[in-house]
Amino acid sequence: MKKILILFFLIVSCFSNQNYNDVVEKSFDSDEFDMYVDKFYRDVNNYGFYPVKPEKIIIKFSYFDRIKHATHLHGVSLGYNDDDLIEIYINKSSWDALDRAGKFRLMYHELGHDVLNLDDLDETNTELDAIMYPAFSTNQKLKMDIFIENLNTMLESYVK
Amino acid sequence: MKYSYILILFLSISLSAQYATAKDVEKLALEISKKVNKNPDPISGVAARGASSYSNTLVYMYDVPEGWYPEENMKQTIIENYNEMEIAKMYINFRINTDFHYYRGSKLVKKIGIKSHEFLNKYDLKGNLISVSKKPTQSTKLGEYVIYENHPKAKGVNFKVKKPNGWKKMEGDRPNVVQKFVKGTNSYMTLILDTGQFISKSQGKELLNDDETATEMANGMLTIGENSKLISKKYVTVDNYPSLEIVMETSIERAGTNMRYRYIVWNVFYEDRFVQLMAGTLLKVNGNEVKSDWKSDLATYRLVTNSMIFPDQY
Repeated sequence: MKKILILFFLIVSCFSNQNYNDVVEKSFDSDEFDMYVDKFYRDVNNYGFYPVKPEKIIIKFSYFDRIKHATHLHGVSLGYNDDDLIEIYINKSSWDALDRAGKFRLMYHELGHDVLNLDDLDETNTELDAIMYPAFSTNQKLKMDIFIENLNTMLESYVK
Repeated sequence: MKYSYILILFLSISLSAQYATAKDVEKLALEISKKVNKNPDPISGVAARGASSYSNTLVYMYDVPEGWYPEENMKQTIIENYNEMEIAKMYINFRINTDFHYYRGSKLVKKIGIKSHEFLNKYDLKGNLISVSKKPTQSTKLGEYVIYENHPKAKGVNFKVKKPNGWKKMEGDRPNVVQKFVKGTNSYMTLILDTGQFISKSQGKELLNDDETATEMANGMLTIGENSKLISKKYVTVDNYPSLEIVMETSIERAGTNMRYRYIVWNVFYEDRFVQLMAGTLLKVNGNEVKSDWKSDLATYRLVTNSMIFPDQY
């Protein structure tokens, strides 16, 4: 049973120095992301923190499941620790399988890395629905209300 | 003798709504007029003339002979007979009022009016009224769900809500008004605003149970008109979402006409949106009372709000 669960849980994102040229090369634009970026900055601002919105914002889809070393990922954040850049790639297959709250969770996770330079939570953390938890399944149903509670938790701990 | 001045017809009635409309009653009157046996009753000499209607009132007309005088308790007798014959149910269930007009030639010699709910009245053996059925507070039955999905003015909020039968579905005519159900001067509308922050259900519940916040919100609502009066405010949920229910009166002036309304408003915290369900009944125009039934309207408004579903929460 445990094995099956592990198979479903993909890594939310990676922000290491690994080469993601294939992901970038095969990426394509979408206008779906602007709303998430606007809301993310709004929510961070509401907690009294005002990160600069960089001029260079790249958020694109890519079919990770067609790229050998990226099939286990829902997304990657390449702008981590670079405050002049937001560069995020989202696995289109994951995106299509996610519900509304799941999409918020994925985007806020990547923006957490890219804008706030947050690290993933340790995998031993028991709060599997936490926004910065490193893995989740697209089958994992997350209620929007839980996402909101977890967003507040994330931002409260960030401003401390 | 007992039934001699009652025109009895066992009619099948097909209605376009839960309750008979004026049109339904008009059709019924025509049907009665076609089918009625106009031969005089051999004992009393009373003959059926036919039927007509106005609004949801069916009017039975009779010709009475010279020397006919109405009995003292005709209304009571009719009510009892209709119940005995089990035809009162039709008038009660379909909300059809009845008038009985007795003519001698062209002269109306007796008129009896029975409201549909009066068929439930009870009398003792001496004919004294022992149980009165008051006009029931009734809501209008709701129809099918109207689905609002990806509506350009809904700011991402998807919802579905049932429209009361006989009400018109309309688009909102102002920027934040997504939809309206309208009947005469009554309206039920949904406004959606941006709160600028995500509010979870538990946060919303805490906020709206805080008297200071609730009072501030209620006072804000009172500014929509003049001479506003707060009647009540309480915390409720609307499809699991925290909401402040406010009942208030206010006066609104439009092009020189002053209209006094009573509103019930549900202020719902939905994620990062503020959904306002606002239903109103016109009470007065330029200080003069207009015909309205707040109790019945309120029952309808509550039914509509209870039907509200936000499907994206699941």
